[in-house]
Amino acid sequence: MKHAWINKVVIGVFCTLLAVPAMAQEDELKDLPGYVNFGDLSATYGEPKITINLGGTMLNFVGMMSKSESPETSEMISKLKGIRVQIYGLDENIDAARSQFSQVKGDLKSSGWEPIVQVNEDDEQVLVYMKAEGGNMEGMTVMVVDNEEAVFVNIIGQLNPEELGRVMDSFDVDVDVDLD
Amino acid sequence: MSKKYRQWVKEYQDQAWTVARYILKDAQEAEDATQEAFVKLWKNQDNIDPKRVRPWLMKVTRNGCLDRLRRRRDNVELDESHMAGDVAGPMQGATATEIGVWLKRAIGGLKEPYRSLVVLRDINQHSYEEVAVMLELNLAQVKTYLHRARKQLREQLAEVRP
Amino acid sequence: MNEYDDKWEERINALLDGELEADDAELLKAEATDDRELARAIVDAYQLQQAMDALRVEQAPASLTKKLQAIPRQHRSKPGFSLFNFAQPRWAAALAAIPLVVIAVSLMRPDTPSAAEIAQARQEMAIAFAYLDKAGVITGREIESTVGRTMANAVTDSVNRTIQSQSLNFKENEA
Repeated sequence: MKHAWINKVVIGVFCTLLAVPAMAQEDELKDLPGYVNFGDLSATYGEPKITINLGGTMLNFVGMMSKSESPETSEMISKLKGIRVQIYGLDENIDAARSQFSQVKGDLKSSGWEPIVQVNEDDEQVLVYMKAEGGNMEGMTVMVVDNEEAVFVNIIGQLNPEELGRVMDSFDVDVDVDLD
Repeated sequence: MSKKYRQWVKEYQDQAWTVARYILKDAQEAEDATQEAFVKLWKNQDNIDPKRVRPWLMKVTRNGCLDRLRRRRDNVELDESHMAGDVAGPMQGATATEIGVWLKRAIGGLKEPYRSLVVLRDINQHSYEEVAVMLELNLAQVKTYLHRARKQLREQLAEVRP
Repeated sequence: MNEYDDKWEERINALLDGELEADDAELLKAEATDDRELARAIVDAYQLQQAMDALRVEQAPASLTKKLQAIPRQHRSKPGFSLFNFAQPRWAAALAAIPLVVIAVSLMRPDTPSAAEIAQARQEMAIAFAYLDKAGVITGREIESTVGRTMANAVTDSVNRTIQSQSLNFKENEA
């Protein structure tokens, strides 16, 4: 009797995990409408210092894990289909990054992405683009190029910035990003 | 960057800056003093009760400013023109802006702790209890000193008014 | 400043703060009709309060905001972020709650993410969001320095609303 509930939990977890499809790879994300090709800057700057490719399956797992801890986080994650990040550390030559920045910007414009916010300073460029189709948000892209790094973030799926702010607190993770 | 620290910057930077500005009357020095206070906040964030961050920060900002004042060797207050233009003479027909400029100057001319009391309570709108913590005074002292400060301002206002 | 003055002051200030009992307020006003000095003090106090109400907390300059935001990076007293740091308290508790069976199942099905992989994914998600946040801070700062804080908030709200309207459409289409 004492072990009955444990057996149920074990079987439940077992079945859930077996039902989960294979982990999404970046190739899988490429077919989604909110996907953005950031190109490749490794020839100039070497391998990206951070590369992140999270597909729908992995996000499902993360969402599942977050459910008891924070239903709001879980709800937000459930609307995401993919998260991609590429961050290159720049040396003194930032021209290649800026050129790539312009290239991606052009691609976004021509493929129906809408600019949301743009900052064009001598030492800092930021672009936020969003894509929607038939009233559905399909993705968001954020690019930042300053003197130290080039950041490309692609959120595939739906993301509400206000929700993000609240959910960041629930992550309880102190991620230190350079803001200067 | 810690999210909670960033939130503190957003919520309290103006109040800390205002305190520093009134006490030091010098924009650059006020900026340095505010920065120093936030450095202390960052370094001590794990030791401060989250509910008492604001009074802690205001107290540290004020103490830093008073230290700076003490370090000014000649003990002569700096040019106050940045805080207020010269609004001398009768205030007859004075606009609200002119009165405001005059009042800022008058507050800047109060002695401590009156100046801090007026800034913290009447401008920053902290509660009497918070002000008492910030200035390490009891509630009765806060009220009495604040009344005296306001009386001084009132008397000055009466002097310039026709 | 004598004791008499202090008592007056206390009552005048309490009157202005709305903290004086109605009876006491009436009494003070009655006294003021017979005492020109007291009447003058009350009028002056009201005028001072009005002028004081017009004074606002001063907005910190953009240069100061930038310096304050840079403090965590310049004074790192806490360990920096590590991609492989799973020791965050809440997440560590969640990890501990995962039954051992997850590991066993992971071994049986290599395509199922392990607990460590999920934890890493969560960290990676936090990084992605932190960089989104970074972009938000930079753009917010830029807007703020261009049009002022009040207007900047309005712009930010407007951007949020634009994106949210897409969220609403999404929900409606789902229904």
